Amino acid sequence: MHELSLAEQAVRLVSEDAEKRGIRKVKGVKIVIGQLTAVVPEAFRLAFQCAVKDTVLAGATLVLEIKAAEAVCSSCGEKFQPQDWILVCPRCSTVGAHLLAGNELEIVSYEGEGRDEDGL
Amino acid sequence: MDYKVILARDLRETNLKQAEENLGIFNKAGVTVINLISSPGAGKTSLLEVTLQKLLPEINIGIIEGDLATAYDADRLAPYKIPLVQINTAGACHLDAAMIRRAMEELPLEDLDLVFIENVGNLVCPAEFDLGEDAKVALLSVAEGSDKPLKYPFIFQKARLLLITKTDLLPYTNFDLPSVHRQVRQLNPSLEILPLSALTGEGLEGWYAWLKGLVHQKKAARKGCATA
Repeated sequence: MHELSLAEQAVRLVSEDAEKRGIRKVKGVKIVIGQLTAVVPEAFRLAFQCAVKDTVLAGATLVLEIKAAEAVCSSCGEKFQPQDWILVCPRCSTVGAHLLAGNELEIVSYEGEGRDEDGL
Repeated sequence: MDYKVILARDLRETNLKQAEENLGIFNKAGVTVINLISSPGAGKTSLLEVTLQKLLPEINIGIIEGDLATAYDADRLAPYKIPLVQINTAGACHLDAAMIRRAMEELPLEDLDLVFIENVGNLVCPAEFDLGEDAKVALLSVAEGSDKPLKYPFIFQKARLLLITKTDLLPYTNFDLPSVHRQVRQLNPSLEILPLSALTGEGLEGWYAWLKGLVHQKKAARKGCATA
């Protein structure tokens, strides 16, 4: 259920930025979600559809990129792709590897149209 | 004309900034803040009741109660006559830093040593939202079963202390305490584990000592700042 809070936050950040730039309609948003975040992509999609209503993002398409997890062992330096939060090195079994990717929750970019100075 | 804007903004950053601001305010007042997180019914309010009985009036305590609805928990704690703010999240599954910022306005921080934030009963979402606390404390009750750390890893990774509650029920369940230790070692080797029972009092002395340690540390840090 916290997908809704995060989707509202995404809409807020994009709306604020669009307003600053005088962009009146946002057509698409790209968001990256790390594999190890507790965010369910389908739930996020639904929440996003609800959150964009009556905003400059109304009707915007959402592109979700799921980022695979990658970790590096703090002991032997082995790089590996953990499938869950148990960051155990497959080579030397050291626990608590450093996560390089997989915890992202970021608005990458958005596309908009109709800046005020375009006279649209 | 179309525009593409590269934004690169983390969806958690607003909450994180607010949490840092909250922590700054708590630090300035010398108040230690504990964020209690568990599933519904793990015994957060019962633990608070015995904790208040033991630590008052030696330690001045305030409480922020988070629930979807009702003031039942606030009513349970009302007899202790301590500063208490009830937040009803009206459906939201967790507290966030902005809610705490508003709630702390209602607390006499300068008169307090310790604030407990009782988060919404939920083992998943509250782990993702920092509130400006000194430590997250997770509660896992014996009745919930010992397979939870690997099933709900987030909170066990973010918490500084794990309380295994309702240990008085251990003889009646197949709860496997060594298994919890093994799972936690994989997820978060630095997480302390403390089994206790609010009903029998088992393990509570360790909990009180842990709390007092944090409170004294914070007070000392504040004095250090004042004389520096």
